[in-house]
Amino acid sequence: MKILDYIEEVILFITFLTITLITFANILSRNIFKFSFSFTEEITINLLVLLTFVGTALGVRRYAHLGFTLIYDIAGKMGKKVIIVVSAIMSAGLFAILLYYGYEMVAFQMKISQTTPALGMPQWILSLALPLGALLCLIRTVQVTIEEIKTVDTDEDIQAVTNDQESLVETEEQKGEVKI
Amino acid sequence: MTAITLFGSFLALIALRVPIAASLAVSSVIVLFISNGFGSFEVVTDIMYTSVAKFTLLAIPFFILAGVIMDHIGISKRLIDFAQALVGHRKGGIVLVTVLVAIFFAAISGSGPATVAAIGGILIPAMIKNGYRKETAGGLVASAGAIGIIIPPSIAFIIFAIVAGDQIPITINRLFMAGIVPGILVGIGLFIAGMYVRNRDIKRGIFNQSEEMQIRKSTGKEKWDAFVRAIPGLLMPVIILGGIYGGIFTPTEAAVVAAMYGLIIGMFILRKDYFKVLYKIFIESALQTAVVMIIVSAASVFAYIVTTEQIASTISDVVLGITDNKYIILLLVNIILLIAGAFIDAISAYYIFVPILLPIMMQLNVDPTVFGVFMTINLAIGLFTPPVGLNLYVAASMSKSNILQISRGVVPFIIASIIVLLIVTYIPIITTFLPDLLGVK
Repeated sequence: MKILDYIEEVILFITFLTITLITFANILSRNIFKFSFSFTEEITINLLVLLTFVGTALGVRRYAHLGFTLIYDIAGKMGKKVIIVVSAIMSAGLFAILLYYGYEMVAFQMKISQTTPALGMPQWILSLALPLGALLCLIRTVQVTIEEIKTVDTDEDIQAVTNDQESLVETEEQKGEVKI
Repeated sequence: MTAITLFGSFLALIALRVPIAASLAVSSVIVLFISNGFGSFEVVTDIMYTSVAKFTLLAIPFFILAGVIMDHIGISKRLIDFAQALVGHRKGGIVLVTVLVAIFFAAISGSGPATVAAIGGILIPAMIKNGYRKETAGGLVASAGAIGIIIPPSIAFIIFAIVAGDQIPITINRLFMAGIVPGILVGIGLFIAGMYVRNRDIKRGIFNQSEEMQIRKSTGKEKWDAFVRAIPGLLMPVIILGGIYGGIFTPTEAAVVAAMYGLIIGMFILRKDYFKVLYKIFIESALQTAVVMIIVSAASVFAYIVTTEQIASTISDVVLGITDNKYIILLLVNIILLIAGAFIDAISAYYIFVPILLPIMMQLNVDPTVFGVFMTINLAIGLFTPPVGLNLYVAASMSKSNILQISRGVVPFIIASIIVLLIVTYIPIITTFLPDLLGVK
């Protein structure tokens, strides 16, 4: 699963950096050379979709998503396990829908050779962001569910598992998710 | 009936610890399945994709990036040092420092918990050292950090403008400008509450006053040095707000310029460690972005159901059927939003409540700008209301107090904020005065 961390992080880093540079270059060009290449918007907003869904997968892995854990916290061992499994099925179900219908969408766009309005790029390449992200989210959901069930058994704190506390903001985000 | 299925399944999922984003989408899927079977699931995928692919929303990752950079290069520390040099030696000076820095940092970051994390690490220990009890320190920082979503640039206002924009013309620029005065008023309220707690604790003999007096007055030279060191941070809001209101940038462009500015000054401040840190900064920002954006994505499906299934109009008919007294309805709306804000995050709250409440507000002739601002104050208060306010947990861990202690410590600040909330709700000119004066549409 280490390799998955690496893949997600690299995708996120490159995507974010690209969005930033393209958008900034566009402002410079418009204000200095009076030349707007706003057609690149098409790329940046689709990259934002990629950033969102791949980031969501990493967020699942790092327990970063906001949720309400009060009832979970006071539940007993068995109750905790039931909640973990039920909530995992719900999340996984959603990601499965996104994966299946996202794949259908991509397949359809390939079939009719749909291109983007401004740049004429094949739309399906950009749309791939959704099924790809959903697949990663699905894998991550299964991964953390197994991890959490083990955690309940050994009665460890979830905090201890996520040893990635590089900064205060991140620590805070994990805290928020664990307790809220 | 649809309304009950939608909200009922949403609450049940939330209770079962399903993340808020997934709860929003799954409850929508359930409603769609009941009315159309599998046939309409494509709508879910479609909305979740297109709702994120918007140029306006690009402002969110950039403002997050700018805030994370500012935090990593120690700008918050420099701002705190500068504020300390100015007012730190006065009685209760640290309370003023906390509120000032929170307001200022809010003008950079745009997110509540991020502001708490950025300033709390230094200010909570400093307050405790100054004789304040840890729950007071934690409570003040938790509440001051929430001002972040009222003072521009604010991710909350961007989302409000997008959601409300489906029904009425409203701009991010106007909301940003409108948030300034109410945001400062909340700051003043928190300062007064902080001073009240300090004086009360002195009377009760649980405040160590001798410790407070240890900060001596800074010399002119020290003040100047602190100012120079704070310049990179002080310039950030000037660039963002100056750029937007000087008519040079759109909010999205201002955000990317702020992020680039941060990346460039980061290079000078961090020097050789820069590239190692840069990777971390981007990953951390990406993660924070995704947490917000996946809620935008899922909540859009929820809002679609609320609108297409006529849930919004049903609820608004019911409410207006009970009473058409504007002041009573405004009070009810505030109570509902305070409760909702205590349990769900601000972004989801906009997608759930704006489609329902905006038609009611329009019927009652409430200025949508005022609605946007008082709704945001409500949701800001939700960030530090027990039992689930996000800021409280951040502040509790930073002040080494438990959630019960900090819940008690935050009460005076909640009361002060609610008073300001009511003032802003019932005196609309406080909100509209500044944007109208400057002609910001």
